[in-house]
Amino acid sequence: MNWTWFHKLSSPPHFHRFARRWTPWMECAAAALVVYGLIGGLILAPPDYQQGEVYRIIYVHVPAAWLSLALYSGMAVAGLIVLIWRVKLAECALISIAPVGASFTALALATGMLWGKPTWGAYWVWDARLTSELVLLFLYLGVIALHGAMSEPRAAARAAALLAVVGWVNVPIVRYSVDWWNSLHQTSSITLLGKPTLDASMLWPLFGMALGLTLFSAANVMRRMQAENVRRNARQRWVREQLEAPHV
Amino acid sequence: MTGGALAILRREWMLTRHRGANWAQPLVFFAVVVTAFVLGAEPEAPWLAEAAPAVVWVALLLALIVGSERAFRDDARSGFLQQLVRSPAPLPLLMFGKLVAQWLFTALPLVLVAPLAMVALQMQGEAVGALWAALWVGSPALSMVTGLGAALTASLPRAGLLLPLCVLPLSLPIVIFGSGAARAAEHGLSAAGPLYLLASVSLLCICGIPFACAAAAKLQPT
Repeated sequence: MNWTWFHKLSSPPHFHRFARRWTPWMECAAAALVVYGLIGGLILAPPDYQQGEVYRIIYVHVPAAWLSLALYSGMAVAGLIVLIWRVKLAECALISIAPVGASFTALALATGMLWGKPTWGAYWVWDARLTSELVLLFLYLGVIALHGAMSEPRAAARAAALLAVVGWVNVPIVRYSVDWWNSLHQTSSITLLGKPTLDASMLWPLFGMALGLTLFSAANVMRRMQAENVRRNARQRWVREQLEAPHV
Repeated sequence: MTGGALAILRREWMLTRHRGANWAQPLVFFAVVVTAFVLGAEPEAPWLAEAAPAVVWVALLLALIVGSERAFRDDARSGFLQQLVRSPAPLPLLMFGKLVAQWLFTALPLVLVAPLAMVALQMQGEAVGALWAALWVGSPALSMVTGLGAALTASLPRAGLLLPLCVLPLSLPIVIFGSGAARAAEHGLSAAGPLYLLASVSLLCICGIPFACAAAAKLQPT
């Protein structure tokens, strides 16, 4: 297989053209999937036999929680690439992922609290899953703050990369906290192997939402990367040529 | 090969001696935090002993963060850190020397006086022993993590709130299991599980963080 297209992506002008072409398509696909997921999950799916209507918050909560972990892992991988190969675009990726991931972490915490009040009777319990997710939010905020405090962009990105990579130890703790400790939070209904304990009419909208929000965050990260990429290369000729070119 | 690390240890020891009574500052800070907690709670409250492990750990964590801020800043400003980066000796080993010095001169005095605070907080025999053991095996990890935060923020004019913001999330598991050991002993259970876990976290930090600190030291503008 020819990997030239992949290596070309690490060149700023190529990435700019690539992102400009594909981001709108990703956004369209994300919007379609989210609309399907919301209609399927909020209207068509039957209420849960135990939790009633309140379970429907999983259509936002579960994808947000997945993404909070997936985006942190993506940020840590970008951090490793920054530290080992010093790829400039990975620096853009690292700092573009952080705010998106922090938002999804906050969203997962907020929706979880809204669900916890009617179900557990409390907005917040000091439980392993909730606490480690909160720590994840603090880690995101630390990465953003450390990056913001340094004036030299490349040193700032490398410092943030170090913190992101070291902080990655928290990700498996969040993921497996419900299995390792006696947590109030329920264990996963969907596993990689084995039959999900969720009915198909509830499951497909959930997958739709998960894929839709994943595409949304990928598109959002790409747009942020595009902006950061242009800002860093503002003095380069290709930027002027690209920005003056007619929009596709 | 270990000569460089030993030389750094000796240098830090001489610097600590030259600074006079400054070495006692973390101790005073630790005492003030514990006292403030007791005064904020009601004195002689029965739940004071139950909260004591968390209070001791948080006071230790804050004292280490405040004490570690200067560890790399002075060296970055005087150019010593840049010299270390350029030296032919392996940088992670030199960083290990600095981190060990920081544990010896900041964390160790705190660990040594901690039983006084535990007794003052009305902790009982078994729990005091377990908490002290947890402090011995857990403080290296805490010291390493705060050292990494100090190295990351060394090039900034002031670390301020940034240092705790970077360090606190990373050190929370140590605090959780450190207090867990004392709680287990208090309820008559074996404290061995949390203690082994703390020891393994410390070993992981000792093996990994010198390399992260070396990468952070190379961020200095040269």
